[in-house]
Amino acid sequence: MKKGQISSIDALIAILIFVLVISAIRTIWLDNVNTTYKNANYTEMSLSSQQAFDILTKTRGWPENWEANTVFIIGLADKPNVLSETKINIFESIPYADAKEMLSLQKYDFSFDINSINPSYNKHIGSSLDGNIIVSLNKRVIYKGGEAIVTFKVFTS
Amino acid sequence: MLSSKGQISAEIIIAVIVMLILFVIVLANNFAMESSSSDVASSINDKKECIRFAYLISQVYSSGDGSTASFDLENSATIYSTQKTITINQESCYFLAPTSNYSFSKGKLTLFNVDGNILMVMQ
Repeated sequence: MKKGQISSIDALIAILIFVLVISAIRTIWLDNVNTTYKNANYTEMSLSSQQAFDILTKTRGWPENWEANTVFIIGLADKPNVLSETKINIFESIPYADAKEMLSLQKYDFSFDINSINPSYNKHIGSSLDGNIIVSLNKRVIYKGGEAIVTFKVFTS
Repeated sequence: MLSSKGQISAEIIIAVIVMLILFVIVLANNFAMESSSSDVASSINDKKECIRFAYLISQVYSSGDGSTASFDLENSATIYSTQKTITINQESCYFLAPTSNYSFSKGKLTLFNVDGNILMVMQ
């Protein structure tokens, strides 16, 4: 080999390193984009869950005396954090897919549980499955004249 | 060839061509990532604004009659009351409140809960 020349093996190694570096940059970038999307989706999921939970436990819904066939927004409270037994029974009778839509949770699954001091008052409404990402919210409410804990879970299946 | 003065070897020409090709590849890659990054950032910002706005509407509703809030809208937004949907550019999200259809351009909004209905006024 003459002075100042490069061997074809050196050139190939250099090109290979170059391709690897470019690929690594691209992979890292795609990974960052995915993470950003995942974070945005999780933020959306947690805010959607929080808004549905607030509406369920703090409002009467719309119209205020809604029935299964007239409901536009499901609210289960007589007063904030005081749940209506009648409305919970109607909520239980609404088909799951319709309930998801009315709670603006089309993209997710949900479960709504009431755990009372008296176990016969306990309720489970919604999906029984557990998904990948879970947002779990709970609060103390008044139900049937006594204290109860409401747990609202939202997840992706 | 009569004189070798001022000549360059074929290897150097090939090396320069290879370097130019690699430079073009880097440049194209960089350009693609930059424009894609800007699309991703813009779509995520729209989505974030949409969900913050939707959440605020729902909060004003759940806080009861007489509650108010204000929101700085950075993009045009359309509110579809029956679908309970907000659309900002290509992004959409859901709120939970009875309201009317609205179409707003960028600006400061005030939200009012009047008898359980959400009214929105651009200032």
